[in-house]
Amino acid sequence: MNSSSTLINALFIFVLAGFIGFEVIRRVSPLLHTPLMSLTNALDAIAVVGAILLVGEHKSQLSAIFGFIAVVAAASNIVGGFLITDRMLKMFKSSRPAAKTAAK
Amino acid sequence: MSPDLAGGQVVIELLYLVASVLFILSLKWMSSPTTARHGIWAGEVGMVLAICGTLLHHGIIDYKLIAIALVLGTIIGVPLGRVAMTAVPQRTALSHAFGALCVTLVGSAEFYLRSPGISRFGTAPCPQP
Repeated sequence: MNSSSTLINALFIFVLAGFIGFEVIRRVSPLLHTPLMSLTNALDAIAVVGAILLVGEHKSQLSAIFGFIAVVAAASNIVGGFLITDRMLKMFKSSRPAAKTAAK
Repeated sequence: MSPDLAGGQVVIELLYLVASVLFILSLKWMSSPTTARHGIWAGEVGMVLAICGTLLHHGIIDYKLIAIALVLGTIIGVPLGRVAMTAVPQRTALSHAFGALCVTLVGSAEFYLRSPGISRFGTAPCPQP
């Protein structure tokens, strides 16, 4: 595959992914904005995939060191991001039944 | 993507596809309080699938270093997931900086590895070993 058709394919993916992202995020309830921020934070650590490849293939010393730091940073994001989002939602759960009974 | 995908390569690409779908569902479910928990599960499963798929790449020779890095990241990540609720905005900002660091390092390293044979508009290809 030549480089210009790869570029066009990448542009297609980029633009369509942009629309998906916009549509998915558009109607989020304001209550969930903070958990959503932490969740996207955890999900954007998907760059760990590229970092793991860099470390695992060990093509050069420099790329392996860069990859190692990148894996550490991304793994801390994954673990921390999911943990804190989970904690936030647990707080919502405990407060929602109380709000319901108050409304009744 | 090369047209002649080997057997193992197909499995990896399919795992990536499932992971992408789970990530989109994860964000979608996050938009309403009743389904928000499912959103976290979908995100976690997707992340595990993506990491497993990557570890299946036949080009990977150094599993020990990957394991060390993942464990080190977990050790840093657990305290970051247990901060006080009032410190969450700062934590999220710092975590976004980590994400940016990761992406920058991956991009720089890939450019460094490919720089001898790269054309002016050839910087787009994703790592496809």
